[in-house]
Amino acid sequence: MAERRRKNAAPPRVLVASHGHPEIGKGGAENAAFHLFEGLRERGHEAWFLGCGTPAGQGAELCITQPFSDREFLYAPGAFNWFNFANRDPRFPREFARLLAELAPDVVHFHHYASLGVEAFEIVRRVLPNAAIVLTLHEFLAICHYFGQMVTRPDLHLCRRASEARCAACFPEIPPGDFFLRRRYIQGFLDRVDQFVAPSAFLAERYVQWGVPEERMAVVENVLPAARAVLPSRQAGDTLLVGFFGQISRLKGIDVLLGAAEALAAEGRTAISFAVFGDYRNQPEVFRADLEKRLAAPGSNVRFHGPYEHEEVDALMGGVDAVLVPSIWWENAPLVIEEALRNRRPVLCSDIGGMAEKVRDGIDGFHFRMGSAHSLAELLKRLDADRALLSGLGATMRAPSPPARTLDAHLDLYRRLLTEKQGVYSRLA
Amino acid sequence: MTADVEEAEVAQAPEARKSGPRGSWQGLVDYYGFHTGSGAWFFVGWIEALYIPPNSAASVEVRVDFETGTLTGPGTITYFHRPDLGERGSGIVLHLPSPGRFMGRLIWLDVTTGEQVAGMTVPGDCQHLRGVDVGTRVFAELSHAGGATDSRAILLERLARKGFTGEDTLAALTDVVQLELDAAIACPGEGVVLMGWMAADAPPAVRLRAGARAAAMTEANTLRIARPDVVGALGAGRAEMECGFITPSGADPFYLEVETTRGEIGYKPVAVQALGGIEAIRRVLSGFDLRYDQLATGFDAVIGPAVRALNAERMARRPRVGIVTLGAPPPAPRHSVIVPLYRRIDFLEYQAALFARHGLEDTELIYVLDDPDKRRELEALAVSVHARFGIALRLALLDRNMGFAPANNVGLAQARGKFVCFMNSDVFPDTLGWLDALAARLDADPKLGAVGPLLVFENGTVQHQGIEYERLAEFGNWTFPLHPRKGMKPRAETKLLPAAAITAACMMLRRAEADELGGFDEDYVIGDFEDSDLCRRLAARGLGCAVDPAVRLYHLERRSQVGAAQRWRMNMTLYNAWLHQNRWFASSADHHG
Repeated sequence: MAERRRKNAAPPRVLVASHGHPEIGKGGAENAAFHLFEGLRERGHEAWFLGCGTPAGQGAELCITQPFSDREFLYAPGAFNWFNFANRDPRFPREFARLLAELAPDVVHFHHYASLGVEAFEIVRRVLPNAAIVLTLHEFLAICHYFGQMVTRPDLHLCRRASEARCAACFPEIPPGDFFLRRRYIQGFLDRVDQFVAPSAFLAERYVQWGVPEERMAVVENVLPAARAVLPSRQAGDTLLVGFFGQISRLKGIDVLLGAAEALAAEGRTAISFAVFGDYRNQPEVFRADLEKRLAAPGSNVRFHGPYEHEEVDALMGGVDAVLVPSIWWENAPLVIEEALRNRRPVLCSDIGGMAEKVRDGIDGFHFRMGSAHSLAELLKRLDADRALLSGLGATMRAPSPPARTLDAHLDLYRRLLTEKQGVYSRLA
Repeated sequence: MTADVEEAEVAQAPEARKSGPRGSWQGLVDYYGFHTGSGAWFFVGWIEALYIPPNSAASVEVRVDFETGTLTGPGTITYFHRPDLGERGSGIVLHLPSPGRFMGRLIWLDVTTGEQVAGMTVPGDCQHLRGVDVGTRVFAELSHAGGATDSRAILLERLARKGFTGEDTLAALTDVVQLELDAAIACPGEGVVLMGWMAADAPPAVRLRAGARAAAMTEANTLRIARPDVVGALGAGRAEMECGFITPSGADPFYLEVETTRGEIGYKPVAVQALGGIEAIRRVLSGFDLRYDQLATGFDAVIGPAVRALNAERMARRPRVGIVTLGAPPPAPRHSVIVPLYRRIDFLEYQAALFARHGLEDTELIYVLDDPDKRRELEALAVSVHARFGIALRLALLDRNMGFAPANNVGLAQARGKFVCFMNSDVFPDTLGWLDALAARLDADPKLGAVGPLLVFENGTVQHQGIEYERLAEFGNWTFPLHPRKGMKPRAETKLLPAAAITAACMMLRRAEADELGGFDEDYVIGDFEDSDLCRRLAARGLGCAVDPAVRLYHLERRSQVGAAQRWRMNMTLYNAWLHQNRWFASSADHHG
């Protein structure tokens, strides 16, 4: 199908594509993608969503289906290679091309390159040569084979730069040449992308350092929904209650929290306590056993509340004095930080990467030394001793960008890209 | 079986020449006979001395005229001293491998070596020896012959061969040959398909023998199968990965004859399995997982003919059909709805309830039970459905499971309507008047041969809106009928959608045309491709197919299972695809592309 020549003023038609679907799994990237799609629809734009996932009981022969609304498509992934992000499913190129030809969007905005595969950019370029291809980056999967975390394996030390030799040191079973091929393969297809979007300057910098052209990189925040309700704040009481929200794992820094809690308990600082909300059921057995033992220790000042739904997070954050983000990997633009700021809760976080960028020390919250339980314990004693330190942040703390503003930023980006493309197109024509 | 081992050719009609001198040199046959151990004729006599014997090269061209036909082929000759002839000539022993059939009286014999032709006459007292006498006499001749020529050694070795006695003699061979048969399945008219594996230090020649008939296993007629299980059991180095084989034989083989590179012969008996019908097809189709490059040749040479023969035999045995009529179907119906039932009998209850709601004044319902075990269950359910919904229906009860095409054809034979609608039991109407709406499309356009509704899954997404053909590189570049937009929301459209073909899950035709075409082709096994085939046959008559998107029915299509346990199902689809390909797309095929 021929692409329509469009006027600059006409609202762009956007296909948002993601490696997941909120109906199937609730990851941050697919939620961000879906909020973008919903936001565009609420403004009356032509928009569609292509997610990935296989509903239970679906036949193996089905490729792209529409099990949800008319504007949502779901791709059931076939053979995906998690090393080089190649989608080897032979059905996908044909089916994806058909969908693109049918919808004929002006913009195809990808959130992530997993599941769909990096070749998807090439397919868009082939089918819709004049469409703008946008890719929002999330963690560092293309850069780092260790779950995209940029920490070393197995010791979980911070890694600042990928290279064939460094990567092979983490994965002695993989020859360095494979890492060379991996980078060449991924970057070859990323080259088809017109515009990269990073939700944090930190993430943008890492990808540029790795090889994404700087002139094609923009820092734009993801579209996040507004707080569901304004809740009465917790009455400042005798105790300092610090909340942890999200996945409970070593990389999310749960050991730092527990180490600080144990040190404070040993010192008899009963006025400081911890509330942990989240899930650890998919963690390794050894980790789970250790965690359960430490939580059950007599006199523990850590209370485990179990998993929560997204809808509950505002209410739960209203019940703590500060939100703790002790991750021992870089992070990008953690959703939990925006949620905390949305609820006017100061954030106590590790002093690195996306966390340090999103939480300004002494303005939006406080930093402590990444991975140091001692540094966290010292910070908490300081905050307990001088409660004004926390309450004073109320005046300086930033408010997260409202969805209207982040959506505007996306639309501005699309318009600029299409104007540029059309300029090229007119010159060629 | 295509490639015979080098043995004499038999011309059916005897040649004109019955006697008389021919050739540069003369000779005489003293006696002859057939030696079963080596599967060959021996001729013993003499040739005049001026004839120059071939050096050690023992092979000569032989032509023998018998009363009932002529044998021609390469033979082995050796010479021995005949004191009675003095300097006038030499004794000869000639060995000619050939079928051991009855040939009648010997008339004449020529031996050709290069430029030389020796003609040997047959005197009136020439003896025809039979049974063990042949070996005994010839052995005596050769033992006394003196001199150790190559040809004499070869003939002595052949004489020492024993015929097949029913025993497995492979273990007695000097070179290790392991050969096991996993299955030997009789395919009527196509001989037997042998499935097994062989491991040997030096690959021997293997012949499938039926009496004196022999057919060699060759690269061209044998499909090689990877057998990691055999390699695992014997140890790497003892067997090649592709040591498995599937090979057809032209005639029913009694045994396998294995000839090692050093010329020893061993035998392996073949126990042909008394499998038939779908069990035999399943057994043949379970035994392999073809590489892409093997698909076309594998199906052309081995799998296709075997399965076609098995299915033809299965179809030739027609089922007994019991007819049960419940209520009073309309005497001159406009529509005949034909629904085959298999496994899920209970769908009938839902389907009949929906039919009843839509009214059946001019429609006859024909349910064909293709699952004899469910007979009682169906009878009870049908009686209850008739009582509850007040609709008439007819049951055609098959005493054997036949498959989709034959079951529908049985229903077609029962149908009396102007239109027939072939329908799956898991298709449920959602539109009132859907039969009339489809029939109106056929009435409106005589060039339309078949029309179907838009079929949707239970979630409302498209299951079928017409078939498109596409060549699939992963399956030999054969052309497959695909369902475009499957799983997508239907488009809002009401105009008739022309299609290359439509599914038989719900397909309406004029009954007269369906009858003329003979219904669905029963060469396809179980239920695959026969709808496409029917649409191709309509197209050959200039009749098109279409989907009416304004008529919408649900199709709760069974979910396909993928796994090794279902390999035979996958291979059956490939068989049907092969058949479909050869029938309709052979000219566009690029088997080796």
